[in-house]
Amino acid sequence: MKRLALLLTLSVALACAQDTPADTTKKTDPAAAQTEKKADAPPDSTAGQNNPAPADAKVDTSAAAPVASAADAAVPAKEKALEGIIDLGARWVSPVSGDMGTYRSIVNLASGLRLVNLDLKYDPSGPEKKLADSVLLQLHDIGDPYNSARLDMKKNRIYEFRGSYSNIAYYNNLPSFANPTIATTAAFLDQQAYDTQVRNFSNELVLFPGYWFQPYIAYERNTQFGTGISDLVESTQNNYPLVNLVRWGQNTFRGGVRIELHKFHATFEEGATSFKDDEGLYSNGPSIGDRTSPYLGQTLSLNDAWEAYYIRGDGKFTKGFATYSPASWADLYGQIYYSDPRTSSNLNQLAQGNIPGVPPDLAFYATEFDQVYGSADMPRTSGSLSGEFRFFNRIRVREIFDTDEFHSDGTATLAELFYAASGIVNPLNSTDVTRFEVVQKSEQTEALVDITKRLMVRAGFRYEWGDSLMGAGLTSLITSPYETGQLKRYVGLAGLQFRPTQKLTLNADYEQSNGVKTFYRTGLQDYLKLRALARITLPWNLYLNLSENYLNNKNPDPSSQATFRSDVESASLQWMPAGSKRVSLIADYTHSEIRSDISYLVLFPYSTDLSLYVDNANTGSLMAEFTLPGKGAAVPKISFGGSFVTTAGSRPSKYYQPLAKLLIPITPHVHLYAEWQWYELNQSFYLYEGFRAHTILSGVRFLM
Amino acid sequence: MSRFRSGWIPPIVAACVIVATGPARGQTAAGAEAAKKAAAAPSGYAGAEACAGCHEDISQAFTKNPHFSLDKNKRWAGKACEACHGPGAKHADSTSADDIVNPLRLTASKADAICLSCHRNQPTQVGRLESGHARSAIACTSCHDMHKPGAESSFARLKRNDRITQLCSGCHRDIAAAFLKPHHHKVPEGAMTCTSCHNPHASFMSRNLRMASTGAEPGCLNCHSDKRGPFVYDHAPVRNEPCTTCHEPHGSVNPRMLTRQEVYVVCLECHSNLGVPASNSGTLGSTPPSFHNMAVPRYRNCTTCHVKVHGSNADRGLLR
Repeated sequence: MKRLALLLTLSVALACAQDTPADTTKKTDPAAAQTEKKADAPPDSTAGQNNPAPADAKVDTSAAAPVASAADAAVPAKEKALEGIIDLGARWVSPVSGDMGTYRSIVNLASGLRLVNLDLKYDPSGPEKKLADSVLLQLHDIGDPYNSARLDMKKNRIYEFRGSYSNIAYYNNLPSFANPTIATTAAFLDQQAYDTQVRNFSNELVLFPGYWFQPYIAYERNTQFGTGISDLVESTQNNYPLVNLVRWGQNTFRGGVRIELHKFHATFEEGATSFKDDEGLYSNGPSIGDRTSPYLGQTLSLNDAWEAYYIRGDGKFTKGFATYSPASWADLYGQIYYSDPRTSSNLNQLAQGNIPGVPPDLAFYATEFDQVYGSADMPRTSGSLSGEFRFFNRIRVREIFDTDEFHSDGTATLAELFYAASGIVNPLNSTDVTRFEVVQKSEQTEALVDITKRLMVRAGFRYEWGDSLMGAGLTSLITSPYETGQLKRYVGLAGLQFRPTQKLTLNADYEQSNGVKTFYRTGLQDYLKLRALARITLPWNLYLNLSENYLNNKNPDPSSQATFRSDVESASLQWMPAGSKRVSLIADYTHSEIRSDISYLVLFPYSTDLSLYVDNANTGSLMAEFTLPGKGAAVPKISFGGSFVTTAGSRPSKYYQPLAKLLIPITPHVHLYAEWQWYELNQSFYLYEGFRAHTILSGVRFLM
Repeated sequence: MSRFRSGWIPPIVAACVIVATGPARGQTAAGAEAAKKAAAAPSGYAGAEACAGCHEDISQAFTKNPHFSLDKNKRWAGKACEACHGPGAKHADSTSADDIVNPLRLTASKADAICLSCHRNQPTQVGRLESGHARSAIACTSCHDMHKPGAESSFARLKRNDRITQLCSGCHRDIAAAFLKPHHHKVPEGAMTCTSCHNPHASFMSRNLRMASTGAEPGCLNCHSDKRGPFVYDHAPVRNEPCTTCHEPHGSVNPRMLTRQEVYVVCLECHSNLGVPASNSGTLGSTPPSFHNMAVPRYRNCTTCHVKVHGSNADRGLLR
């Protein structure tokens, strides 16, 4: 904090010192002011804001994108119907040193040909213009495990279509997320693992864009499929790994109408969902499970097992949005949502081996067959109403009211059959009814005051309240069939924006709460939250961003005494001499500290212990780009940098990703590029999960 | 269990009273002020050609910006620049920067008022007052530009995942740093972007979190719809606490992007077995059964047995 404050003070002094004379010039000559502003602005700034590019950005397409600068645009050029870029490439991945499962869980890139990037915009001028005025097609990383696509088509005032697709591999085979001692203990502890694909497909068609009446329809699909490992738990006494076939998908259909008038807007939407989950599990042979000690003198085992889920869901939902400007000094906003999803399910399960009965049954069985039928529904009504009122020229008052209310009702029927080796059948049937209710509301009032043209301050108050009821857990069932929770929290709000010159902007946001009740023992109760951001333009074409995020929460619930504190400081420096014509540099550094502790009970020996989580992380990234000497369009560029993350505390880790890129223009329309990246992960508590690998991507870029 | 009680009534009444009684005096927002000026002095407009005389480069670029469509609007035909900058005849005569509206020099609220004079009554602005950007007076021009041409316009740039991420990380450096950690959503890889999960304009949820397309649920469910349920046996915080209670969505050193180094520590946060039973304490979260001895590694693997930790249709203990 002190270092950040010192840096901030120095920066402010520098920014203010150099701004004074420039301001005088601006006032006398707007044209000169514009010119100066252009020279001052960072190349990727948008209207004066400093937006340094992240150093970890992927292949830099901006350098080659068919972007006309403002100066270029002054020269009338023939409009091109088709413009864009196509990147074709080949990736080579070195043999992975270390754990392949970790590499695949984090990086997962493989060797082969790739369509790295296709970004085309087509503005037809011939007969095709009857179909569309504009078509945008994007394909990214086709052939890689994480790829996406986008198609936008538009015919002015007739239709607008937006479609997107993403296909993200979810490979996760890292048991350390649960148990740090897995490598050192003899216990065989299987954890869930996944080798799956998550796909999203989203489309929306809007008719008559630009008119006051716009009907629209949309279709979305979300799926996950693949294989994995999950567990079968037998009578709470042992658990066995099973092969898991993951297969679920949801379709969402929705449609509505937007009415946009000068003072009023309303949107009404109706929709429906259908969900299906056909998850299946089966054993790969006999197993003794994770239990290492006998149970009632017998060794538990599983010879064969399978589980088949059949889950179907459907639901309808309704949405309504409105904005209204009844007067020049008042704006009103409202939104309401209602949804009623329902689920019906069926689970069949067969297990064969030496299987214990469900306590208090102390017998052992050869086969167990279970059938569970379930159904649940959850109507939910939520909404908000907010308004901004400008009573005075410099004062805005904002009033916000939120409400969220739902309950979930469920029923499950279990039919369980235990077959003993002697042929005796022991049936066990039960029915369970569940209910879960939540009502949660908040009301907030805030005033924003423009003290001067350069200083805005705000202050306000938020009250949050609610009730919740749910079925009690197994141990709490002894005292009551339900648990109840309440929410009652008073939050003070404050903030400011200070812009003493165009070269310095300060934002701060402050919240402090006096909580009376929270739903959960770790919820935000007595907390203090501070966020501050400074954007500074320094001399010598330097741009500095400083940010501070602080949260301190104390939840004095007598059962756990949870405390949480996080402090994150970031600094970003961008150097763009002469408009980055020859060299540019972006460097970031972030330091974060997290400390959280909560008390819990250790049974053997009976004692209280503190669960302590500490994470001190240092993160940095750098990207330096140099334009090499060349003639005409053939100006090569080389860039290098990368990132590092080091964390100390509960899970010490080091993760490095250095990289270098080279771009060689051959002709104005053909460039060659190459990129090298190194990945290295070391974790001192989980050495077996470390890895190192090189990747090289090389290819050709076509510019239209 | 309380229902809506009278919660809806006070804000509705307050809004109606305020709207009905009107402001103390005739205050106007900057946009309305500019419009009033224009209406009062129609001859105060200079026309786009006059603007191009001095600001040729900006003017040329602007003709390829989507905002130039204003030139086809009856009201602004031939004077599209002045739709945002106000009447420019005086500025054209004096060439003084003081004689023209420059949104960059206005307060954020007044600059926004100019944009919102056209864009306020659109679906993107619903819930605007609840967004962190609106609260912190982050002006529209912080992310959007009005002059840049074609592919360089914010309209075109913000259709590209890498450009959106680049823009957001310009201010949110701490979040960009979190994405450098080994386990993260695939934003640096380009398969997702910040706006996949956040709506920068407006939100019903905290942190500008995008809503699920199916209703008032977190946008996380757009890609993880298997967690939506409803389940016969809900895991309560999945429903009424943010997913970030257990997961760190931007980046974590934990392979399941948990907020703690191991799963059992996350579970203990609510299921700590000390003190007053949950049923009497006014908070939710039952204690683990007594045979859960945390000193034994097997019991630290909570999700090995509680495989349906987000909700189950078949078992109260979330075992299947």
